[in-house]
Amino acid sequence: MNRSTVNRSIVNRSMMNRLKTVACALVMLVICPVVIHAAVESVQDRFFRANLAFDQGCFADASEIYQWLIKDGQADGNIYYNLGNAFFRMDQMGMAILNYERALRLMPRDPDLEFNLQYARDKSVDEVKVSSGFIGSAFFWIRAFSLAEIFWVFVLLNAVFFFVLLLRVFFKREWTWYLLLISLCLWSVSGVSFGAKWYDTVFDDRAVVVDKEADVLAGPAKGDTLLFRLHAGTIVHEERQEHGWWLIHLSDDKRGWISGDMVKEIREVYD
Amino acid sequence: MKKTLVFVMTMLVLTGIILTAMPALASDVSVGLELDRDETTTADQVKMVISVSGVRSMDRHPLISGLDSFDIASSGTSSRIEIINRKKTVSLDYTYYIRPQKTGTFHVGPAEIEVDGRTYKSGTQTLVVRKVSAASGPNRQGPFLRAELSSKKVYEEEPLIYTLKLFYTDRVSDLSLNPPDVDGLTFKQASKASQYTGVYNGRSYHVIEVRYSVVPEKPGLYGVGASRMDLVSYDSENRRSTNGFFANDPFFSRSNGRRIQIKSDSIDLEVSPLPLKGRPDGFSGLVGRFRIVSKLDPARIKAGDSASLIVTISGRGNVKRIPDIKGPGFTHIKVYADQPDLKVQRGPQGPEGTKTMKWAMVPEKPGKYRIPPYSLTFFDTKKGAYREIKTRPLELDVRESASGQPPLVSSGHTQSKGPGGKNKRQVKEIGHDILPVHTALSKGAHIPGPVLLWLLLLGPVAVYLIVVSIVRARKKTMENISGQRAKKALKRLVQRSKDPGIGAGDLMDIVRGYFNDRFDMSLGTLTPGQAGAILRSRGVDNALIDSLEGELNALFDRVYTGRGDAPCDKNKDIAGLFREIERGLG
Repeated sequence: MNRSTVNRSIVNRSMMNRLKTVACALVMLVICPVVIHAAVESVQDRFFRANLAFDQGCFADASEIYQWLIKDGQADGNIYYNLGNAFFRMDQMGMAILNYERALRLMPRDPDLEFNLQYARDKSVDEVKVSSGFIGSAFFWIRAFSLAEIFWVFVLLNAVFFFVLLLRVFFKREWTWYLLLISLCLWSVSGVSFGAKWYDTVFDDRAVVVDKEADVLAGPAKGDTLLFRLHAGTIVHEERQEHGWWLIHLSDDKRGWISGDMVKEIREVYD
Repeated sequence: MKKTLVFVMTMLVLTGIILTAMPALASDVSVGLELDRDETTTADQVKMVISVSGVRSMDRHPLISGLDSFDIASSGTSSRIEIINRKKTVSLDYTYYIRPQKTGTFHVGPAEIEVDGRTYKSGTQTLVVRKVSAASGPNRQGPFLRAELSSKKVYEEEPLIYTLKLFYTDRVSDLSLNPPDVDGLTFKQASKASQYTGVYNGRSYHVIEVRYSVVPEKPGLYGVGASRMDLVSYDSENRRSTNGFFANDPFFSRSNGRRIQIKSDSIDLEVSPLPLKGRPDGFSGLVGRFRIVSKLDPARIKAGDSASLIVTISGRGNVKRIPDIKGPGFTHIKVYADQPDLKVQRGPQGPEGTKTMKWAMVPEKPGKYRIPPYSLTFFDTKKGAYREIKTRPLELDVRESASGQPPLVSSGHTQSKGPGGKNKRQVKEIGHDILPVHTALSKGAHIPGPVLLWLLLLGPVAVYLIVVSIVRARKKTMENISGQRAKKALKRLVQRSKDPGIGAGDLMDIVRGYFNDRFDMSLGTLTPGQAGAILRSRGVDNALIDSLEGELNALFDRVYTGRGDAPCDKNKDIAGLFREIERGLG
């Protein structure tokens, strides 16, 4: 094999390698969207299948699929809403209210959800006054929006504010000054609202009684004095947890200990 | 500035006052007349209050009719401002004490006032005046309690009034009253305690009166036991013994008052059973005096529209036993009944009440429909017999509907008139259930992952900071370049002007070169005036500019008088001058 043949062979091999790389890249470019699309389809399919099960009266099956979707990270208000409906149909009023409340955090202005939640609340046994708390009262408007909505508004106004600030670097005119003042006001309001909503969401201490009847005791042990009895769907406020028992209080300042498996937090916690 | 501030503040305060006064000026005027009792004796005083709301002050006292047989004494005027739910009410109370001159039944009122040329009148109140009861028993010392029953012989369930009066002359305090506890008799306070001056056994007393409504549940003979009252009495004898000036002041009195208990007398009450004779079948047990009225609203309608039939029973007695009337039944009229509404109030003569029953009637066909009279049976305590009272028969005149089509009458509840006079029917809920599941996932807003989230939040800040840094850096660079150029220009000028044999023409070229280098210019010629103007525009001191112009003019003279090439001794002065100018520019 002379020198020129060797050189040609090296060139050919290198060309082949390059072609292979380009082909792989092309295949990946074609496959990737298909794979991603297939995954999206899968969530939609499961949601559709759960709805089908619901329509056929298989509420337990439907609730299982909805819960699977939620555990899979699909925190969608519609899934919580449908899950609430499934529990409602299974006469598990506590779980129904719990999931309606969770859905309400994600889609606070949904009229179907408001109707069903109100109806479920009407069906619950205990009459407990719901207090909106300091944050809810001081920033009353944030209840009408989800955290994501307020976040995106803040992102937009944040961008506008810094854009105007930047504009001032180059154009120190009167109109840019007024524009800066307006954008500063909007930026502050949206920023404070976002902060308040975030706090309200992350530190939400509300929990729902999910058992048909739940005894609230004077201490975190089964033998302690029975203080009062709550029923499914009642919203309580969690103070702290000790060995599977929760210290809770109602809005009207009734306090006591309740077994942790009888209540569930509205603020969902994933391990 | 200060004056403007004071003016603005004054205007704000005035506006506030005017706005505060506005509701009072705008509020409606009304007059009320109230007596503290509806029964008294010729020896007692009755407190009368005329309340005028909606005015702050009046020039004249109200004119009160029906007081011909009374002695009247004014006790003063008081004004009141009430703010309830941000609504402001101004009222004026005229208080009088009236003492009847003779017995009988009197109608006191109306009270009449005139505001802005308009006359406003109150209602009237009936006052029954009885003779002073003959002296019974010895004159009493200290406070004492008397009990009275409005009637000592009543029928079962016939309400009567039990009146307790505390008579006292000296100050009393810490009153606590316990009405008698009798099985089969229910006591309920009928009115607020009233206070007045009365006469007993020819002696004047302060009187506190409390009324109870009593309902006997069963027939029989009852001994209405003594009522007890605990109070602290301040003895006048003790006070008189103290030194003169503070004698009437309990604070300075040696006597701190005695806690005592006083009792009223017992009274017998005979409760007769309701007679069996004449008792109608299905008698509701209603006892007292009642009236029944019925009304059609409207009495003339079109087919498909609705009319309300209202039957009202009102009166005094055991009002809770007022029966529900059965609604009308027609073949071609749909009838929807409302929940009966019973309103009970405490009257001075016992419980009073009104029961209102309503039916919405929607006729399907035109015609004249006769609504039969409704009857009510009760035991009339005044007549001692059962009575049946009836309403007048009514007629509903139904005309053809506007479309001529038979109306669609669906299930509904109450009807009301909507805009345009069209009858609207309240929607009645028939079933309850939740709304169905959602079939699509939301495409709404989601919070992005932490990386994108922080990027979105901090991105604009970062962009701003980067751009500002770049701008600042560029500015600094420009300043540095300018500084270096200035240094070089001066250095060159000093070096070139060092030559002792240098002529005025060359020196002029060196100065022009300095200006070109220093200020990044390309001047072909430079006059002293131009040089001065350039330096002035850059803020150099005028004295320095004048000196420079002087030196340059001298150089010019030399050049234009043909001595441009001859050595010139100005080089050191020029160099020194530019050093100072450079310091000024620095």
